[in-house]
Amino acid sequence: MNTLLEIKDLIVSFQENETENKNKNKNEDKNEDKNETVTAVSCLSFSIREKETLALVGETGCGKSVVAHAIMRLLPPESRVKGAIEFRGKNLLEMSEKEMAKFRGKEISIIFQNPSLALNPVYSIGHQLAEPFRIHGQEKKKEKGNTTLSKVSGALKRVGFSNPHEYLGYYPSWCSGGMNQRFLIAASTMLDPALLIADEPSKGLDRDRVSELENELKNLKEKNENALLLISHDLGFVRRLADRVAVMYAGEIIEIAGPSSLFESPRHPYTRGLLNSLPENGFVPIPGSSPPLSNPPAGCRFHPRCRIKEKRCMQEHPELKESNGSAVRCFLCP
Amino acid sequence: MSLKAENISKRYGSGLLREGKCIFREVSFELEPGKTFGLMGPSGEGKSTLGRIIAGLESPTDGAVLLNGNPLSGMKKAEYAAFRHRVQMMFQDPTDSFNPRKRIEHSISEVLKLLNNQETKRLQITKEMLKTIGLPEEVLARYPAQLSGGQLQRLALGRILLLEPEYIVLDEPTSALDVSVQAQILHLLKKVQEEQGIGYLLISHDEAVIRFMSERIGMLKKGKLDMIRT
Repeated sequence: MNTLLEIKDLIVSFQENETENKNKNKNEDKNEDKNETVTAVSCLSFSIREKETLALVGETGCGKSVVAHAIMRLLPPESRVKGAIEFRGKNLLEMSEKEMAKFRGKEISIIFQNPSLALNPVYSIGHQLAEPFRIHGQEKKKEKGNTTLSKVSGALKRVGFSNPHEYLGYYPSWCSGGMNQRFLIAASTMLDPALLIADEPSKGLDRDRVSELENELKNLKEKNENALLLISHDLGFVRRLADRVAVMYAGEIIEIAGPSSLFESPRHPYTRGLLNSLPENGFVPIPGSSPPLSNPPAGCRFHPRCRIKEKRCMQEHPELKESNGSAVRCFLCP
Repeated sequence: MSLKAENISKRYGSGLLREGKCIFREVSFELEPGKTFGLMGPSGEGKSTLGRIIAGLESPTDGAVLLNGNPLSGMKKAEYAAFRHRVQMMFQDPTDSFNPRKRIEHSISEVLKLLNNQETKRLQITKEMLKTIGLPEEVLARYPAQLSGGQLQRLALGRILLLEPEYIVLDEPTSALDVSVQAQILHLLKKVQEEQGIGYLLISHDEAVIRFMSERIGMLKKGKLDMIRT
């Protein structure tokens, strides 16, 4: 299979705005604020092949969503992005905003984390689902109305609404989180993008809704044959859907492997700790917490929490070593 | 202190001429000091509404919340204020629990000012609280956006503990967190319960979390509460 998306040495940093913080709270001590640079993603490289599902997992704040937003070029203006994000050989970071707008929704689409916040509360579901056609000029004047409506209805049917016309006039606040999540999936896949990014799609959903979502994503992949970048902290969900899993810690990838090898014989001490935290393994926590991204520790970023660390781990930064289709960033892993 | 829900029903949209939609009816259970009652069930069945009613943040349509046998609805203002100190609520998303424009120190000291603590004593109490929840003092100088979800959820618990509550309603306390941080928070909640004898009402749609934490478990489904572990 051909490579669809290739990320090379991606660095995303945010400069904290000192004056903004001071203005926020004039009564507090102004001298304490420093101009800190938070490097949310450090020298990150990975690729996604056509039709492949790659999952990104890791602790809250490790940079998973930042990667997704960097691909979509939706990061805030105070961010600094370096490296390359190549989609079918074209570097997205070098595109103009106008060119990028043509890509979004059509070639690469995203299902955002919080369905209630991602949908506009003042527009009906039907209006919002027809938006991709309006933006990408696929709603021709002659066809306007009925054709678009039938396409929207078709998309709603695909995500499990047996009577789609009923929902076109609904507003997001009338619907449950699970329904809104399915509307978002329908909107994101409306133009059949080659790459779909799903950012924590199962967050906050109960078990029944998660299994429904899992079936919807599987069906979509079968029908549309698109690639999927799945960002999730639900490891069971990831195991069932992913072709490969990349584990992130403190802004970098520390292990990449197929799901069976990663879940059955994890190599990196952090991956092992993550799996021990699962309910079936007794909720055993990893001691300590992730380092601040404004000041990560020298050497291996996981060493302050690692039970098997050696002197070298505190001094040198390990590279991601590749072997047999998997990779690990640890001096002590075979 | 006993905290009891007695035949609680909740309807939305009811009025003089309309009966409204019944979310749940005649739900009864009791919370015990130092123990956890786990409340599970699918989304939209009214688990959070029931939690808010127990915490005194919402009124039931029928039935009563009884504190030592006294109904919450009949309490005087001062009694109700004392109830709100003793029964606290911890919410799902820790980022919503803190003012984004204020440093953590400010959000913590607000509670201590409310308790009329002197400034020197406030610092000492805050340090002790941070020790309990396992966070360094440097977090006090940070804004909520500069901390992780796990750190904020620990601080949300720490701030609640300053009020020395007897019961805490935990509304999906780990569902916004990843598995490793979830495990840390669950162990912290257990440790705090053992040390301080606090009774929990734990609301979650995650059966594994409920089973790990709770002595007694109820399932809220189709408007009814079925006890599945007593």
